[in-house]
Order: sequence, then C-alpha cells, then structure tokens
Amino acid sequence: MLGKLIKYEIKATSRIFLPLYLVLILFAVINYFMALGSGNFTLPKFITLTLYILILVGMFVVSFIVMLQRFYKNLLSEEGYLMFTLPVQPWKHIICKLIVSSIWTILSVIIAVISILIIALQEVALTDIFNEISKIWSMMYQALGNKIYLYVIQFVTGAIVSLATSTLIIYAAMAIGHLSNNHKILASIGSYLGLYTLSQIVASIIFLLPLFQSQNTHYNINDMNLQLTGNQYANLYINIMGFRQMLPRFMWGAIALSAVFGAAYFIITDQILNKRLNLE
Amino acid sequence: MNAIFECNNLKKSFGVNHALAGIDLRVERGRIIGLLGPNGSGKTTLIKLANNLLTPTEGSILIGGKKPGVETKKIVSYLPEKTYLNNWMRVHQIIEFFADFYDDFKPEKAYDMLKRLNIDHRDRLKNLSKGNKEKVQLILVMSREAELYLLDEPIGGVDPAARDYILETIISNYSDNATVIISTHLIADIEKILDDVIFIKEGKVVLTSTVDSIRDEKGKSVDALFREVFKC
Ligand SMILES: Nc1ncnc2c1ncn2[C@@H]1O[C@H](COP(=O)(O)OP(=O)(O)OP(=O)(O)O)[C@@H](O)[C@H]1O
Ligand SMILES: [Mg+2]
Repeated sequence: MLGKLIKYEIKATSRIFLPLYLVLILFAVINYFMALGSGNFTLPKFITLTLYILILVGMFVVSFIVMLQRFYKNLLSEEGYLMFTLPVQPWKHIICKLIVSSIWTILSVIIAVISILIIALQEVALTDIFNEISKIWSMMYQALGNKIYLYVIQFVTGAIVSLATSTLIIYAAMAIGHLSNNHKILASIGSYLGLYTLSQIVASIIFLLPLFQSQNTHYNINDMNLQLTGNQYANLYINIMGFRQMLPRFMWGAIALSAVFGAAYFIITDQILNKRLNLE
Repeated sequence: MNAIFECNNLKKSFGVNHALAGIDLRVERGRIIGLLGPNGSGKTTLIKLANNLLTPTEGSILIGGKKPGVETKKIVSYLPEKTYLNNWMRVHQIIEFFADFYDDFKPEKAYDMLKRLNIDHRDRLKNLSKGNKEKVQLILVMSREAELYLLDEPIGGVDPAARDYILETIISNYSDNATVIISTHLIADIEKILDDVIFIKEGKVVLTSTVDSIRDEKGKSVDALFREVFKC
C-alpha cells in the first residue's frame, strides 16, 4: 500500500516540479547563449540572469510550500476524508509524504547544480570543471587519507537525516495545530515554535553537559599552576589530535540526536493521526 | 452472525459541546436504514466516528465486531458530506485510484453509472459542477461491494431525476447481506427504500423502528412522523 500511496503522491506533485525544472534548465541555457554573444554585460543579460536567479530561489520556495501544502491539504483538510478512509495505516501516509517531499528537495538541489554548471560552461569547459573537482578531491585525500570516505558518508547521512527531521517537525506541528478547533494555522505555527525551542533546549543540555565536565578538569589544571614540560606539551598536542579524532564521533552523535528528534516528531504525528484525528 | 454496526454508550464531545451524549445502537446486516434528525443532532459525528475520522470521548463503536481501523475500512464504503475530490485528477483517474486501494471496487459498475448520469470520464474533477461532483463521489462509493455503506446526505445537491436513479442503484447494487445507513433530510424522497429508521436528537437516540410499523401502527409516513417528533 505504501508503494501505491507513493505512486499517487509523485503523480500529484510531479506536475508542479517537472515544469519548474524544465523552466530552470531552459533559463540556464538562455543565459549560456546570452553570454556567448558580446562580451559586455548588457541589460538583456542582466534581465535573463536575474530571472534565472529568481526561478532558482523560487524552486526551493516551491519545494517548501509543496511540502507544507501536501501534508495540510491532502491529509488534514477535506481531502483527508478520502485519504483516511483508505484501508491504510496512518504512519504510511506520513512516510509517503516524507519520502516524496525529500525526493523533490534532493532533485531540486541536483537540478540547481546542473543549471549552475550549464551557466558556468560559458567561462570554462566541462572537462576543466571536472579536472578542478578531482584536484580538490585528491588534495583532500592527501590531507585526510581514507577517512575522507568517512567524512563524505557522514556529510550525506547528516544532510538526509536533518532534511527528514526538519520536515517531520513541521508535520508534527501541523498535526498538533489541527487539534485546535478554531485557529488551526496559528496553533500550528505556535506548535512549531514550541517544538523547536524545546528541542534546542534538550539538545543544548545533552551537548553542553560533557563540555562543562571537561571544563571543570581544565580549571583544576589552572589552579594547580602546572608548568608544562616539553613532554606535557606533546601530550597536549596529542590531546588536540585526539579532538580531531573525536570530531567524527561528535558529528555522529549530532546526527544520532537529530535522528532521535525526528523519530519523536514522527511518533507525535502518528499518535495524533491515529487517536486524535479531528477532520472538520 | 454479529451485528454489522454497534454502539455502546458512545459519547463524543467537542469541548463543552456534547455532540453525542450516549448512543446505544445495534444494526443488523441486510437492512437499509435512515439516520434522521434535525441539524446538529450528531448524525455526521456518528458516521465520522464509524470511519475513525474522529475518536470517541467515551464508550465504543464496533463495525462487524471490530473497532474502526484498517480492517473495518476494507468493508465500509463511506460517502462524506464534504467534497473531497482533489483538483488534479480526471474522473477516470479517481476510478483507478479506488480500484488500486479497494479490493472490492468494481470499475465496470462505476463506468456504467457514469454513462447513465451523463458524466464524461475524461473530465477534470475540479471542472465538474457541484451536483456532478456529488454524483461522482456517490458512484465511487456505490461501486464497491462493501458490507456497510455509510452515506451522509447522499442526494442533497442532486437533481430529482438523478435522485431516482441513484436510489434505484442503491437498492439494486447492494447485496442481501450488506447494510446501508443513510443520513438525510430528504425523507420523503428516500422513505420508500428504507427498512428501518433511527431518529436522533441532541446526540441521543429518541426512536428506532421499522418503517412498516410506523405506517401500520401509527398510520403515518416517516416524513410526517419526523415533523411531529421534531416540531420546532
Ligand atoms: N469538528 C467539530 N468541532 C466542534 N464542534 C463540532 C465539530 N463537528 C461537529 N460539531 C458539533 O457537534 C454537533 C453535531 O454536529 P453534526 O455535524 O454531527 O450534526 P448533524 O446531525 O450532521 O447536522 P446536519 O443535519 O446539519 O448535518 C453540532 O452541535 C456541531 O456544532
Ligand atoms: Mg451532517
């Protein structure tokens, strides 16, 4: 059933995104040809470039609005009568909306990069760009060694997790907001601010606690007025290196915490859709 | 066999407003039932509770012995009072949508009814007139071979000629074992197809009876009895 839901969700949203992608690529190509012409920066060039940038920004604004609107309109407004009457568990609706909106956001980023590459082509050849990228990559590889793969994996995981979590917090806020009988939208915004603040406080406590503890030991060292010998300097250096070793672990910790928050928002949303649905 | 629809001390409040104030009901299989009551008496609330679109404040509601959920949604065909049609599909696409999600949906029936009611399956849902939107929703609901049909004001916006056809399809389409619960204010129009009636007022059942006994014992039509019971 989840597969079917996703199929219809993609159908419902692709008629917004596909034309948008087409227009963005089209404007990138127009910019490319405009720049090929005369060398001077002319008014038409300015206009097409401005339009391109507006469409680029607009694409991400639209991704955000569609994410909100598909959840609110399709599930919590009149269309919810159709969706929640289907023999499908509510959690599948949440996951379906999350997956499809994430796919569009990621695709938007890819399309944006492609369109920038198209415009950049007027200055440099595509092979130059790839050469440059592989140069940067090998420099980073020299500096970090095999760990670079770890960083890349970490970066990608972190990006996906934080995309999912920042979507789920909005779903949870809308689900809480729709419980209000009269001011659903206002209540949703209020719930968002509330959830966000609460999460920040919890995250700060979890991350600052170990820091305070290590700071205490730091003060102790100062109190003792220790003279650092050469050997101790070496130790300190090792500790700093140790911090660098710690960095990936710290990042994994942050990603895990973000995932835990995401799971909490998901559970809140699911509980409300299961037990407290309040369709008008 | 267990009752298809059963409520025990069912209550639903919206804040201080007690929309349902303790409903006890038992509806058997194979009946066509009119759920009748003045505006705001709780008909829609009761039907939404049966579809899990609302959660009871107290008491229980059972469909074929089960609490409303995925399993009951497979056997309940529900027509809401709201228009839920989205703005991007065409008529044939929503038929495919129903066929995809409901195993008991019969597309042939749907196309047949569309033809009878002169609706083009290539039309966009958003371009249909209000009455035709209602007809499409009713066709979708009646094209399922469900065990329980819950119809909330099914013929309100439909012209009288189409009304007759729709009532005819309601009677002819459902199997002997299925139950149809219809909430409506157009009592005179539908009373000829009803087996039983349930009168509700301010969230309470005030009368349940077969239509025959109203006619035979009281010598009245359901419509006349309604006007008497709920006189303003
Ligand atoms: N979502 C809601 N929030 C608050 N109150 C509600 C809500 N839905 C219904 N009510 C209240 O519950 C009571 C019953 O409403 P309901 O819609 O069930 O009546 P009804 O019998 O269907 O009326 P009608 O014949 O006008 O359709 C009314 O007083 C209504 O104001
Ligand atoms: Mg109603």
